[in-house]
Amino acid sequence: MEKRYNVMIVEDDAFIRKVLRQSLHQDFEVISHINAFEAMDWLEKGNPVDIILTDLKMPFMNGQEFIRTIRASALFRKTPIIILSTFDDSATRIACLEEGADDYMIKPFNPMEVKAKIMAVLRRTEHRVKPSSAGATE
Amino acid sequence: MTSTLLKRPFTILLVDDREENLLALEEMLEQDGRIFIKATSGNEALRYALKNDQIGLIMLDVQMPGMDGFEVARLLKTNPKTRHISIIFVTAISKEEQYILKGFDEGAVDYLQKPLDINVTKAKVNVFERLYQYQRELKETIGEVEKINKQLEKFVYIVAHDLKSPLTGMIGALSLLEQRESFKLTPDDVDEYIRHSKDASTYLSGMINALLDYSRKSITQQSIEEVDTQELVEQIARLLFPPRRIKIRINGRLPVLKTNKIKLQQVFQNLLSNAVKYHDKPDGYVDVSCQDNGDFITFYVKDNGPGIPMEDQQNIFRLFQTSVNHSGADTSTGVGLSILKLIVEEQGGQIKLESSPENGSLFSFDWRK
Repeated sequence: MEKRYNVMIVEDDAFIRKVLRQSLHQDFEVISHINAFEAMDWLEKGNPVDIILTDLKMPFMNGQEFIRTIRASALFRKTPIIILSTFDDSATRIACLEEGADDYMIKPFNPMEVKAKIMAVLRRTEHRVKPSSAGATE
Repeated sequence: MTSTLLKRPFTILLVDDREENLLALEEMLEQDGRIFIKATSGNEALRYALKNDQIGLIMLDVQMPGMDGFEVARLLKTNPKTRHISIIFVTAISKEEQYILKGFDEGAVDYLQKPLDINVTKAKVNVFERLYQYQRELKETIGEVEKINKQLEKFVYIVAHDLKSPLTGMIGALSLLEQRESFKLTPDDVDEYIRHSKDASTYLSGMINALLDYSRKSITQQSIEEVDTQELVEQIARLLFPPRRIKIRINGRLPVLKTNKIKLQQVFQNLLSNAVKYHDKPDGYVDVSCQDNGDFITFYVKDNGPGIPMEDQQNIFRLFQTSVNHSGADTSTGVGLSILKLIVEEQGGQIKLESSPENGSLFSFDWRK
């Protein structure tokens, strides 16, 4: 069995979280968090995360602050980040990409496309990310 | 639109090189609500016109030493700051002058013939004053409309965003259902996605109804009247029929305001009914008080109820957001508090919430006097 990538979903809407998990769980190890604080906590505890899929409009810490925090940390600054948001204006997209996001997807989404996008981002960031799933064996 | 025909002071700049003419003109035109500025030369007149943006009319003597009246007018009409000011030339009207006057055909320009006829002069100035007041009112209305448009733009943006959220879940779920084989959905998954999509559509439909209701209200609720807020709050408190264990109390005397009654009523109605609806204490109270803050009155609605959880406080004014701890079968769509926020903010105020499980909730909002 080949190694699987760990995808971390950060999304405050429970139902969207469930849909994303269902869309991805066949191909990835999926862990989801309700807000960026929980997500940071999970990362800081040393849990393996290969790619982050995050919402922007969340209570406490919004997506942009989340990107900034991750990019400022020594350990996860290379972890690919994909934004999944209802904001579809180019100013927000530019701000996020400049902040350090690797790609930007707009809600509502097609589950197939989310999956394909994650694959694509992983492909082009291959040199900085290796699958790190603890559970999977080679 | 509000049509408060509030008469503004009308400022007239009188220009004549002879003091006695200035005094005579002022005496002739003297009236309540009129302010006169006097200049004895073209240069002085230009200086006043540039400095004072309240000037509504210039009575301009044509024959003056140095810069004559026509020259002053030409300069005024080329400057964007003074171009709009109405001018009445005071002139003896020689043949030559009649010809020059034609050059000023466009724009609010008129002339009075020397020697001045009191009645004609008064009547003409009255006409210009009325014109000025109408223009002023129009300008204010345009400003108000622009403000409302901006508000609306912001509102539409928030609404669009918040409508998208349940749709996102739904579209995702339906896509999964469509490809249930490749996503390996169990029959339980299928049931759940169908149920959830149905809930989301019901919710969306509720939101749309609430929005329609809101837009109907904002169209009809524009009139300003004298409102005794004490009476208003007492009446709302009575009509809420709070359970015996909950007391609605007013601390101090609430003021009488000239304002939009229905909007203020909507704010109090929402805050008071929420405070009563979610109250969980056997010995409950809801206190209403106020504080004078210059241009605004700040009203306070305080209860000793359950408080609003920290994680909800930030979102509670967002459109369609309802707190998770709402009691039982409450099907409020959550439009309430965000509309209160809009109502309070559209007149320049702020609505705030302080809340904790120990102390209950304290809502405060500013209302323009």
